[in-house]
Amino acid sequence: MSGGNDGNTPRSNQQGSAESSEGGVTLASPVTRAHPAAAERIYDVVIVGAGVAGAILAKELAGAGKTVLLLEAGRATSIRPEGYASYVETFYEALAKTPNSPFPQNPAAASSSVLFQQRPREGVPVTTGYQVYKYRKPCQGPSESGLPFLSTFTRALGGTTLHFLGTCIRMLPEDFHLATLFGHGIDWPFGFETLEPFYEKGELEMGTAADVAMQEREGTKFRPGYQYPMRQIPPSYFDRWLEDRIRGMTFKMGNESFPVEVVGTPAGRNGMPNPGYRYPKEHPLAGQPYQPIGSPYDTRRGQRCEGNSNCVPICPVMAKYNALRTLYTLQPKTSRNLEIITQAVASQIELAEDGKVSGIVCKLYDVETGSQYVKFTARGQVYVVAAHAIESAKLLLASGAANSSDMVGRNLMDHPYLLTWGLAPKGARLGVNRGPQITSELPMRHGSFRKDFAAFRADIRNRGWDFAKGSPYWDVGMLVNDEQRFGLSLRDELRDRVQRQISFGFQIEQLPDPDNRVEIDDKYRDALGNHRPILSYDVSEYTRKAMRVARDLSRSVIEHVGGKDHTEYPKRPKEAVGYIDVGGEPFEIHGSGHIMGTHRMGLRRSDSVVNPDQRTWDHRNLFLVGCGNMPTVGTSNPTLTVAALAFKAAKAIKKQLES
Amino acid sequence: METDRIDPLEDFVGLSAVLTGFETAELHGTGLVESHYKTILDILGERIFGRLLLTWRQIRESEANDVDFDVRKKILENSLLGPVARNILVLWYTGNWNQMPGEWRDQYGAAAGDRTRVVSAAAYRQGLVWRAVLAHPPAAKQPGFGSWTPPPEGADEIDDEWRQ
Ligand SMILES: Cc1cc2nc3c(=O)[nH]c(=O)nc-3n(C[C@H](O)[C@H](O)[C@H](O)COP(=O)(O)OP(=O)(O)OC[C@H]3O[C@@H](n4cnc5c(N)ncnc54)[C@H](O)[C@@H]3O)c2cc1C
Ligand code: SF4
Repeated sequence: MSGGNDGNTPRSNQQGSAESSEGGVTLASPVTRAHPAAAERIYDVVIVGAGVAGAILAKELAGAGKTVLLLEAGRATSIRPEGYASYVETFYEALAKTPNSPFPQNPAAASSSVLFQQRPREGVPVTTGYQVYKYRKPCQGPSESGLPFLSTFTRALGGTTLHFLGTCIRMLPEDFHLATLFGHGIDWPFGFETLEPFYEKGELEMGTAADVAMQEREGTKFRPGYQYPMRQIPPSYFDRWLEDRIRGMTFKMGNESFPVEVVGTPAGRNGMPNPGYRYPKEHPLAGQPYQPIGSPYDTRRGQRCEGNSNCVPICPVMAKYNALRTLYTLQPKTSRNLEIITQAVASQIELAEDGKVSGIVCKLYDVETGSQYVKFTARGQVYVVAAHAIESAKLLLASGAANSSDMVGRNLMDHPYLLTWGLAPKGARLGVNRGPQITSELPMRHGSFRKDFAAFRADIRNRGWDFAKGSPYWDVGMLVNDEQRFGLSLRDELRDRVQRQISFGFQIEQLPDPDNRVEIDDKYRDALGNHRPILSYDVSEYTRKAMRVARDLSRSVIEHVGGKDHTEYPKRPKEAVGYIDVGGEPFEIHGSGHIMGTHRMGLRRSDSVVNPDQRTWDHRNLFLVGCGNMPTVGTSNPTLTVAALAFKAAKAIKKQLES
Repeated sequence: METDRIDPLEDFVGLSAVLTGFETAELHGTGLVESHYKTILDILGERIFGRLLLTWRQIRESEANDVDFDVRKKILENSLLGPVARNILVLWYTGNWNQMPGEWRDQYGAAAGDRTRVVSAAAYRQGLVWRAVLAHPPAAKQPGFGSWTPPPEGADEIDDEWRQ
């Protein structure tokens, strides 16, 4: 054991707390760096992972009087406002402004990064970054190399929501029955109705701004009379411009004709409170109108989105939800029952003879780059792993836990992200680069076409060709270096071109496929000696077919508004990490950041890892919570569904503890 | 010596104004004139940077009636000065210093400081590109709630419920 020390050596106890009580919400955080007393205690619940899933569970269970220990692998840089501000500064100074650019790499608890993604070849895995990408033969097209898994996550207190976009959208009722209705994937073990009350809790926790009537038109369901806490975030000028020009447009898919409509995207982003909203009766503010929570460090900040246009990768004013809000806005009672230990990497789930979990072995580290750590075993009545889909699966595999179905790590899914782009007619000004990155979408979420190809939603991107080309820096480079422009000619041309940039980002449903998976191998370990995840990934024909449809839809829309399509994908696998063949034509995909399916929920222990309570079939006192539980993924960004599932799991855990 | 009498900072701002299409007052307003000057001097050294400023000064003093024409001919189309001027222009627009092109380095010499990077957080925030495209840098100078809904400068209002 390299440099390890098995004793539960007391460690520095740097208590950090942010306390204030403005605006009716008490802000307090129980984060400690490492807690000597934690080693002696038996908690009601031990939770691994302080992302949104772990945070909601911790808050719910501690709020219900249970003693909770929350173990977090990353650092608590954000415990102080200066720490969070340093993330923003780091972003400013980062050359590649990738999703993880604000968060310094931490070899003891590494995050995945798009910068290390390369295409694996047969027998030649990509091992340069933290994640290992293993070859899987593509189901279509050239096979000399395969896709790496394209999405990433963040390991720091608060988890991946630190850099998520904030889209908070419910799954559709039909998404829960994909197999029965459309003959693909499998059904969820319960229907939409079961999750509906928990969606409401999630929407409150994540401070969601959206419009019920607009969502209902898309096929979403709500309790009669329900309202979102906040009104829809105002649309961008581009949304309005597009809506104005495509009014009445239809698009034919399969045998059906669909209206093409601009629909506001629900978001965990602060807007105008909905005057009709009242806190529910179990809430401390029951019956009162909604009050947006912005920055937990200073409640006066971030009560409204200020239009920083930077939700990914970091909102400087915290007008967008992230899990720090759940962790830092605790009632005093909750605070008392909760301990959070950061820089504690869960490394092994300890199993007892009776099949129950008896502890979680953590490695506590000081110096991220070394191999020095202290081991500590956390003990509780009930254990929850909420370390996000890849890390949770990896921890289970490394511990030989919960895998009697052989489903742990399998069915890894994303929403492959297809970008398209074009230019609006000369003279148009679309208001590009203002407001949240996405405020509206073009949805193609439901219909009988789902028998033939995958459903999708197209982000209407408010930042022109930023993702597609790296605009507006890309345009500067083109105009200055290639076209030799300077002065006013540069300035005017730059404005006119960028203001005409149209871009859509299609998030396409992907089916569960057991060969898309997370594995481990003793060969690949990180600085602390923990396994590094090995990922194999491909995209099936069902999803590829939808890419062609999406591409056609985009072209039709751009032409309908009098613009010109400029979408062009690299011709060969060598030229793009996300190269993908669609019926002989080259396309390129990116990740949506949605990592799902790796420990799915089901009705039978033979083909699922957890039951509808999200308890593992194999260990009575072990629960798993997070996107890994999703049997299929529909067209919704997963986090609201994960929040709802976390509330549902909290209820089941409470019941189990009390029985 | 001739160089004793010139104010290199003013020359730098003057040339930058012609390159960027922004007024000298706007460039001063970014607060970056001195730090950009110093960054460039550190990277390129006095010999090359001085040559650029001297060339600009001669253009200015010649009272040519087409300054843009002279800047193009004598600076941008010059194999030593052209790539330097373009890099300075990109620095003002983006806050990034891009490493000088390989061929240029082969001919005029490499420098340790010549690395592609964001020169400072302030340089990112003050990047002129955002002003040129009627926007603001992501994560800074936020224009406020709902500012993204009305038409941008020069665009038409739309007849919908969001009409102000
Ligand atoms: C660029 C991007 C944009 C996104 N946009 C959206 C969006 O708009 N809408 C949406 O719904 N979703 C979005 N997502 C996805 C969203 O971020 C995730 O679904 C969500 O964060 C998952 O929450 P989680 O709590 O399960 O995992 P995480 O948020 O990843 O939290 C897991 C936590 O566990 C910790 N951990 C990991 N391993 C260990 C260990 N061994 N021991 C202890 N702790 C551990 C991690 O450090 C982390 O804090 C986006 C993702 C990305 C990358
Ligand atoms: S647009 Fe800006 S202010 Fe608004 S939520 Fe996103 S990052 Fe925050």
